Amino acid sequence: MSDTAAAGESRGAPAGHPDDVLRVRDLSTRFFTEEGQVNAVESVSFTVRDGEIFGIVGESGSGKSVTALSLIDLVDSPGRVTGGEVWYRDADLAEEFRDRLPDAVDGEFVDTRRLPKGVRRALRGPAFSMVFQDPMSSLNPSVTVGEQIAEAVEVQRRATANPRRTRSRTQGYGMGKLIADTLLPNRGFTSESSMNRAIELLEQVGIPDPAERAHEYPHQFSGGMLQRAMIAQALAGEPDVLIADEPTTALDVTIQAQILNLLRDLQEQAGTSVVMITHDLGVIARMCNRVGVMYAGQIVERGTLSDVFETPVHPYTQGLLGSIPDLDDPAPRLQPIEGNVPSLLDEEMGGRCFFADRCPKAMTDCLQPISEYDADPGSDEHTARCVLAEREFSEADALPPDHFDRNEEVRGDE
Amino acid sequence: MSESTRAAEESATDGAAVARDEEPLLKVRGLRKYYFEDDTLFDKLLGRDPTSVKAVDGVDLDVHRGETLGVVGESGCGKSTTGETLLRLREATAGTVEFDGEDVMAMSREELTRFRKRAGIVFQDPFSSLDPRMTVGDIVSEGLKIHDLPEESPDDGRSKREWRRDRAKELLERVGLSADQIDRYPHEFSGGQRQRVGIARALALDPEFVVLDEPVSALDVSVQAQILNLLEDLQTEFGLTYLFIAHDLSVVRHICDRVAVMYLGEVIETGPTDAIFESPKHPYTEALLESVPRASVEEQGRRVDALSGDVPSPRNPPSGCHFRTRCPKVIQPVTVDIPQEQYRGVMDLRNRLERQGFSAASVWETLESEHDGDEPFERDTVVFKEALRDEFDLHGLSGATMDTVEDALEILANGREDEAAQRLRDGFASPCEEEDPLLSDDRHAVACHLYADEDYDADVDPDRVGNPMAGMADVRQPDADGAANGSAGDGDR
Repeated sequence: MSDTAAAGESRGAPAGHPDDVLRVRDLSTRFFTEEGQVNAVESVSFTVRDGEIFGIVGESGSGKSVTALSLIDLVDSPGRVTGGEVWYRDADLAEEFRDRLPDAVDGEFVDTRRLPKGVRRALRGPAFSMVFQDPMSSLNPSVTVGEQIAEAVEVQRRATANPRRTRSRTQGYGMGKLIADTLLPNRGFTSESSMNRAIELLEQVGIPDPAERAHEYPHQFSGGMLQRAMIAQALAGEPDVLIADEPTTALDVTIQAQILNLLRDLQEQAGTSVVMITHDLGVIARMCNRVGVMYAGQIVERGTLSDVFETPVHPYTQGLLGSIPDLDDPAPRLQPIEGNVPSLLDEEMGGRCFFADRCPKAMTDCLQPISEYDADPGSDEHTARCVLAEREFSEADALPPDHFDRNEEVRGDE
Repeated sequence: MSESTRAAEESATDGAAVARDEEPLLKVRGLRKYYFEDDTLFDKLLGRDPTSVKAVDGVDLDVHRGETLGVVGESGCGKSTTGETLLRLREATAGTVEFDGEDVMAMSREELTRFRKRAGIVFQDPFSSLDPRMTVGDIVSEGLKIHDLPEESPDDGRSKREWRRDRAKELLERVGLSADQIDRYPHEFSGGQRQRVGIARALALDPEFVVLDEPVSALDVSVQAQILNLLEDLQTEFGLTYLFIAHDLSVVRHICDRVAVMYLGEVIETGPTDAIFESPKHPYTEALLESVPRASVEEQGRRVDALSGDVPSPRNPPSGCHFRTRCPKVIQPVTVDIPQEQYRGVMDLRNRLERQGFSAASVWETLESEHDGDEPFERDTVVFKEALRDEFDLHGLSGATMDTVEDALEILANGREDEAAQRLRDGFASPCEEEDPLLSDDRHAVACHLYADEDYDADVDPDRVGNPMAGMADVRQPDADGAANGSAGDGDR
């Protein structure tokens, strides 16, 4: 897409498809740990359209989950979103801030990163919501499932009654309330109507006997049922964008099929856009319209499903596809990618293509930072962070196989 | 049961089996592993009966020399327990395991030590299966030390300790690590590298047989492919026999020669890999294969007819065929002839009433929570029945079948769940719940009543008569027409 070419100017939303609901540009997240600065997400750009499923695929440690957390501003210390823009389409919100924060508004789009913290927070629920990976540890074990979903419903309900007054929602829990709750531990946050709505949501996600199951605790649910409950909770605010972080990784294949069907139904019925994060290329293939492949904190290739699966340009994408055994047509031998996923410590990264040390086609051109190029094969949305999108591989420029084994000084000389 | 006839049959049905040893390296028969709950002295004093969790419930496996047998199934089906029990890392509740003609379950301590030298294991989780306080050199050579190897001091003047260290270095190199990493600790390695250490440890004693318990499921795809290639190379180089436990079907297809599919502690289908994957017989195997997402563009938007519900608890497995509570092809009794989806719906309703404590009250509660408007909620049995018909896909029934279902719904609406369940049980009892299907006796074997005709029309092995496991022919008589009609009536398979 052409928005990458305009990365230098930072005014206004990136150009894109008219159906875009989310345009992310150069999003970067760093973790400041004792071992050093970890570049978990490194200038990631992508767009999500109305009612589509956008897939982010990558191995563990490639930064896909942190990307999701960065989108909805949930990155915890010692991590911080250090740069980039998240443009979200919402005409009302844009109108509200057009005068106050002209920089943060462009047409119907609002850059959520420039909005005040409280407003960002208020967007979680009605605009963005998230389904986490591990349903067992993401729900509170000491509160019934129905109660937890009803809480989410209640939060949204109070928010609608008092839009964007975040203090009236979950904040403002002062000493007075603390004392009241200590003295009256059964003072519920939820009302009967929000509990009824929770039961409706549970039914919507296909939980049998919702009225009864709502009064059960998470440990009484199976993994698949808990994941359904998590989805119900995420739906409480009727979000525009649902972020599903490895929603089926902890589940068996037959249960995975049920959950994928459910997500597909929800997306088709409510027109919700879904950002689907997974390491499973099969799940991506079944669910997604467009895909981004992440490696070492960057989106190294993105495009439509067939761009990425049929005409991949980046050697990493090719390697990933060559690594998975085919169920219907088993190859005698797999073609793995040699080596291991790099650590993302800033000092070890260097200004080069991060995949060059494992890449079978590394060339001298790969030793400088690589930007996102338009890739020729496939649709015009197909881009790759690889010099091979611009030129052919040539033996003459190839790096010697031991290039990255030599020590730092040698590398520094080049 | 007679093994010679089984082997004879096997070689008769498939010419390729001639190349293989007559006698399998590992022969597991009727392996059971139950865990007991409420089994303390205190419970006994209170007169409580222990409840059993049937993790492995009668598994038969043959592993031939040099082959890879895959054991697949969903979590909780007992595949890992099978792997550990047949190495006697857990004591079996019942059953026999023969390794190269010796009975593993009856081995003395010394015999067991010798057996452990010949059979190794690689565990699933490379993070918790390596001692964090030992260097990888110590981890790899620990087995050598325990077995007091080398037996005599090496001729070249090295001490036994140095010999073991050199051997550990060799092994590390062989599995793709570098020998100078020998003094490092596990935390310094990535997941894939740790799994290599685990493999080196299993190979240290030159075993013939290795149980690989989900060796790649904790790894990323690119690393997973490296380990799979390594395992294949090692098998060729050292002539290893593998029992490969996995839940990932594409990995199994890639690496295994034969596959056994497990469900709730039982092997429900076994056969050569290609036969299982290209023409699965058991409805569960079909559903598993159908559910796996393929990594190709054709997969986009494919809707899978997912199996309904969850795996039942092994504390209380369903009677008869364990899979019947989820089976899309559950066999209808002779008296019933309705579309399969509706029969499945009736069985789902029954199952919920019988096994999951479904109550009319919760349906009323759900209806009430959906009820809005100002007038107070009134219990209307018509609405109640309609809600259940929607949920269980019971529309469009007719005749006697409809009467029974309507009756049961009416009874249920009045809050008498047990009676409703009984009514449905009387009207719709499936042959599948009467008895446990046995694994048939051919190379591509399946335990499913749908295939009963094929199996039992074959000559009944005279050696097997009198064996409780072989009593199928006798047991079947009373309901012979039921089962036969059921499978014949099931036209959609």
